[in-house]
Amino acid sequence: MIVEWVIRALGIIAVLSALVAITRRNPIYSAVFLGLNFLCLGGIFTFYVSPFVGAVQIIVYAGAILVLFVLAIMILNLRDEDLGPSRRTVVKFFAVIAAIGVVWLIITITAGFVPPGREAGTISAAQVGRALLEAHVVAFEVISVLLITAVVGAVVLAKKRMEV
Amino acid sequence: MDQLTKLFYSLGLSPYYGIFVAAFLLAVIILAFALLYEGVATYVERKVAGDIQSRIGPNRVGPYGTLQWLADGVKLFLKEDFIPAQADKLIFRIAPYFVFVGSFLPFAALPLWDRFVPVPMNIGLLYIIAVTAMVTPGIVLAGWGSNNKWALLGGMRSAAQLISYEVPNAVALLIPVLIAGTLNLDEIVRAQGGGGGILRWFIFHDPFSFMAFFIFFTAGLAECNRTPFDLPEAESELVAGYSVEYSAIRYAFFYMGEYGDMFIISAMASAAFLGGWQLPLIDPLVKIGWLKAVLQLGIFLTKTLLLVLVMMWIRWTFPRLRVDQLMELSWKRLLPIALFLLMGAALWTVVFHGKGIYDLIVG
Repeated sequence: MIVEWVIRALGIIAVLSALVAITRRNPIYSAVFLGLNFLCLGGIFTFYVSPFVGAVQIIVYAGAILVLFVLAIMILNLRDEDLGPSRRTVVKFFAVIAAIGVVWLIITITAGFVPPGREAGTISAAQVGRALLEAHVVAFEVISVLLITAVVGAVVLAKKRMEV
Repeated sequence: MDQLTKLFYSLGLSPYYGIFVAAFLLAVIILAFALLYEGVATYVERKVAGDIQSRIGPNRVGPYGTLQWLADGVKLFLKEDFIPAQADKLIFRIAPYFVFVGSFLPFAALPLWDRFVPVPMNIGLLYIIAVTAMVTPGIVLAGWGSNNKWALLGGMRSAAQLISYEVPNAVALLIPVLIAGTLNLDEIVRAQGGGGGILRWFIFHDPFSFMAFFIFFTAGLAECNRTPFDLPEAESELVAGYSVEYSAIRYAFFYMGEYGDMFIISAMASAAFLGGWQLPLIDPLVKIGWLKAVLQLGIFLTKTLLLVLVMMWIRWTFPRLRVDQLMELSWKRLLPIALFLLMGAALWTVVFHGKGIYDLIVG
């Protein structure tokens, strides 16, 4: 099936771009490849889970969050000399060991997992809406209260810093 | 898209390749249309500017200067493609593609005539919002990659502006979605037909949707970086903002992106609020299928291009806002109004069971 191959290609690009994103020294490159990663995930969601979730992924992550990242990087405007010396070899050594451990963990956890059929997994926007506002309405409201608290907290913290 | 795939299938091409060939062909057709429109739009824009400022406008190439846009296009293609030595080469190169792709992809999801969308999808409206969101990173990266004070400032302003105006824009667009009960653009347009003529258009559905149209159009102007919201490129303070270091075909990408965005915002406004390809008397009078489709396509394009013309008219009439005024307009005016309208429209839908003013009066 051709769509399966498209999904596989998107998955490979997503993993590669994620790897590139965490290995670049210049944060703006990390942001660009993170954006590529978001787009690929959006594609996978569109084909695998639901076009609605895919579109939301692209709006929220590629549209808003990526721009915020890039904006923050631009305001700091780090040059190479600001980034400090490269990490020491010992740190790198342990990082590689930790990475291997994480990959091994992921493989063991997902070993017996068979992905559900593509058709079975297509969820419409109406279904998402019903799930959010009927079955999971309490969790939905709690999350929104939590987010509002976070926003208020951020404003309070920012204000304090300004007065000092 | 489906029809094309079937056509290739009937010609003996396997469906696997058929999809690719159909997608490629469709992309070429849409790109040709978009480029043609963008070319002619630059000519019309200059003529409109000339008329409003009591000048003649372009009048040298071809009769009444009608071939000016071709000459401009050839010039942009042939000019030297210059990359500043201090610029970040990779970022500088890829940024225009983000902008162009973001303004070109939505063309695939426009409802052109009855039950015809080039690439049919259930979430057409959301898809258009999603892919146009890719323009913002492009502009920001262009500003950063140029390594130039003005470009950087232009890029930052643009990021702030686009993120701010995306919110009232999307909230206002939720109101037709609420009335029609679907994200499918074709179904949204079809819901605006039937008896009652233009009174069935969603702009006349209820007072809230009437105001939502203007909120959407205003926020849309800002999304396109058009005057009075063209602060990212403000010539008098930022030279040309994020595009200051760009020349030749890379500059043309930004320019075409702006005109593409104008078309998309106008097309969305005409499809979601002004009835898309609906016009009274077409349905009962025209019985031949293909003629109807052609007429409907003409109606949709006419409505869209008229709105584009309004955008040009606004550009040459109003002065630009100040940065703080721009932010205030979005967060303190447009967004609260849009949220209020959304709540009002939701209440209206519940109280009157989704009926518009026309339905309530006539019965």
